Amino acid sequence: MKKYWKDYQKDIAEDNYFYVRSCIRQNFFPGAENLFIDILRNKLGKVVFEDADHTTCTGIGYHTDIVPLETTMTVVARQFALMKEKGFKNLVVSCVTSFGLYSEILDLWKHQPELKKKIAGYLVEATGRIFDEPGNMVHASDILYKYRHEIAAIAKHKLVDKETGEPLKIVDHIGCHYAKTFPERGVGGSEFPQVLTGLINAWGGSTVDYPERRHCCGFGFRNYLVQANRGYSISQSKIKLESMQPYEPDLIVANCPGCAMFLDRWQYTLEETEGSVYGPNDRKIPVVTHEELAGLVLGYDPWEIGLQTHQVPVEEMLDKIGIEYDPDLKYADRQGNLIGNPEMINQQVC
Amino acid sequence: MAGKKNFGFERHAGRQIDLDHADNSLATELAEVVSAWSACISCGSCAATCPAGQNVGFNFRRLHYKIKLSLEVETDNYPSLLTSCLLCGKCQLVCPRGIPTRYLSIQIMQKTKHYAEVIPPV
Amino acid sequence: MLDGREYRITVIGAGPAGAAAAISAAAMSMEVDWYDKENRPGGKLNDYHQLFPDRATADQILADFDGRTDAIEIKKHFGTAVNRIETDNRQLILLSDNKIVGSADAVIVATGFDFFDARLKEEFGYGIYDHVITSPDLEKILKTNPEDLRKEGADPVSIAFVHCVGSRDQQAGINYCSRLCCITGIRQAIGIKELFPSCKVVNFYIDIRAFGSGYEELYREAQEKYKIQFIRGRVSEASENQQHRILLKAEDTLMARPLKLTVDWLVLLVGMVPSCTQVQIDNHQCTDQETGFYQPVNVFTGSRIAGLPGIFMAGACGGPMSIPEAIASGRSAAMEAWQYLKDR
Repeated sequence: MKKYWKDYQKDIAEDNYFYVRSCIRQNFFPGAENLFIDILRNKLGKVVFEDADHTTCTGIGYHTDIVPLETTMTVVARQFALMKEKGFKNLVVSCVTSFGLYSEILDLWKHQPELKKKIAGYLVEATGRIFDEPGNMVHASDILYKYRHEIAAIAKHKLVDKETGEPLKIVDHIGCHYAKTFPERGVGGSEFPQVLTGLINAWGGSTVDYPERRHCCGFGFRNYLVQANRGYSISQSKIKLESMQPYEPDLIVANCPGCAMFLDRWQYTLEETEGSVYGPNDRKIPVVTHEELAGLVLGYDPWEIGLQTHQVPVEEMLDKIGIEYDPDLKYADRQGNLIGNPEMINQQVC
Repeated sequence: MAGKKNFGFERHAGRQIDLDHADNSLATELAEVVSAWSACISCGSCAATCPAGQNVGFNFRRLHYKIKLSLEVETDNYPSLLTSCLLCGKCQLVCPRGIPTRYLSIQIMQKTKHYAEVIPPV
Repeated sequence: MLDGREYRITVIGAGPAGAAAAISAAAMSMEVDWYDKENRPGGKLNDYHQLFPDRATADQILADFDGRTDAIEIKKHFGTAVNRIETDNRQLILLSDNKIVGSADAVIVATGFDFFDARLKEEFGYGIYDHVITSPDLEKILKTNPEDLRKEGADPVSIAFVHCVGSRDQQAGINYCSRLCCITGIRQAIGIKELFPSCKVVNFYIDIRAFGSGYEELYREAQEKYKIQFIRGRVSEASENQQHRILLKAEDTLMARPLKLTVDWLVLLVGMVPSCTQVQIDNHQCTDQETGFYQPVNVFTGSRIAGLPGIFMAGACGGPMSIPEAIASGRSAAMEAWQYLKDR
């Protein structure tokens, strides 16, 4: 395949990151963010700062018409103020929707400087803080992209079938708000994004370029939050899953917490409601995030990084790569005490 | 048992027109007998002037365009829709492409199975 | 009889407009120097298969030009790209890569156009998917080896054309209409149907702009005789399936419903953009800021390039133009140049 879109390069800071977490990532995939910080600090030797005073960006509230835009902007300005106070300039955003929202706000301010002034006024009035715009702002997956070869050099596993030596077939899914609003802010743009493909290829896997690759996962915030609306959300995921099915993917990797959540959970729901599964051999397709994918190749314990919180079981995928794990400790706490299996998971449904 | 659970919401049926799997036999047959029909540019003159369309939800332009796309062929409801047609022929007078639309209307009725059961073809 | 014996004129570009200008200037007995960056005349015509509306072959027109330019006194300098003109009093100095190659009393610029780079419309995957091609690509295939359109010996099952690629598109920075892509798509679609009668051919259009003589008639023939399907709606995304067929998403705007179609080939009808080998004249800004095409001193009455004495434009270097229009424009520029030299 000829690649012209490698031209979308973006400036990704080398070190000294101010990290802002994602509300939903730390709930849906509770190991992922700690894992990311650990990789950066202990494997790549980078400085990552987290501020205990940092809050939600209000993205979910904003996208569900609960939080007014000016409030959202003031909250975001406060995050920027925290970063300034701690002496950092390079913002790393965990959530794709936060990243999109920050990008949108910076763009609004660029075009409407009086709006920025107004928000600065609100922030001073409410908190006494002042802020600077980030010198460099990237999504967490961009950092892994930047250091993908360094990670490959110290990786313990490759994304290949250990029996056959064949690369795993991996579907990449990029959150809409990563590059669809501002293609120039995404590695590789939005139509043929490179950010996760870069990780997959550098770590030995192969990317599945299936027709509905660019289709939204269906999360959509307001389209999910009200129960009666969820049919709309799951219909989108189904379009994607049906389209990727003939390629028999081993794995889905997503950089957006919402996408990873829904591509994972809706597979369970589709099996329960319609009896449909979309992976090879009548199995569902495991879904991991970019941090978890990095963690797996670097040899972290799957249960340490929280893969037991995924709805689709990951064990067959781990076996295929040759990653060791203790099946008995899947639902154990940190001291190794069993805390009981989740009630909703029927272990026969795999 | 998988495939039965109710989570309080329903998946949507797709709205996408699938041109790959369309059964276009009716469209092909009609295009053979009313060759000029293929030259329709969807200007809407026929529907604008149609007396039936002034009062009921009958849109002749839309109806024959749907046949061209093979939409709703499976429900076979074209004749029932066409019962609104008065066969007055005004549509034919105003068609800039010179399509014999009155004849097209008759042909749709005749070539549709359900209608053929009611009124035998002439 | 127009007598231009004392006048030395240079024509830059050997496409239809340049050929018509050179022939006309020589017919008026002017001393003609004729340049083209390529080693042979004809420009893009060399790559065309058929022309609209009568579907004459491009080779017929080329042969006609060759016959006429050979029969008349014209000094040919092919393989030399004149890319700069310096005005020195009443003399125009011609330069190629900063080297003086000649001089003239008047110059006709007929540098033509380029096709829009379809890679910029990322959603179509041109340059990524092998079965997404442009109209000039298809033209070359039709001219040289139409068998290339078969796949493993089998006729293509379906082919789609997308109108307005790099035309009427603010996102591509092109607000003008390239005018010729509609009729190109219609003519090429007919060509496909003649080669492969059972192939489903669909043209996705926004508006059909069949403005030229005989164009509307060809459009109707495409619909009625060849049963080519015209769907009003622009393809918004192309992707590839496992069989390397191209999946399209579009809206049927007449039904107000999204639509999908899988095709063996997707043909992008690309618009016309200013040529990358435009001639710089002193340090003048002589192209339109918006479109990048040369601007005439007056769109109704003069083909002299705005603000520059002795330099005239002809053909598609001034904007999208059909071949008959380009030929007429070349003749007209020669006439205007003569008048200018006579009166000055």
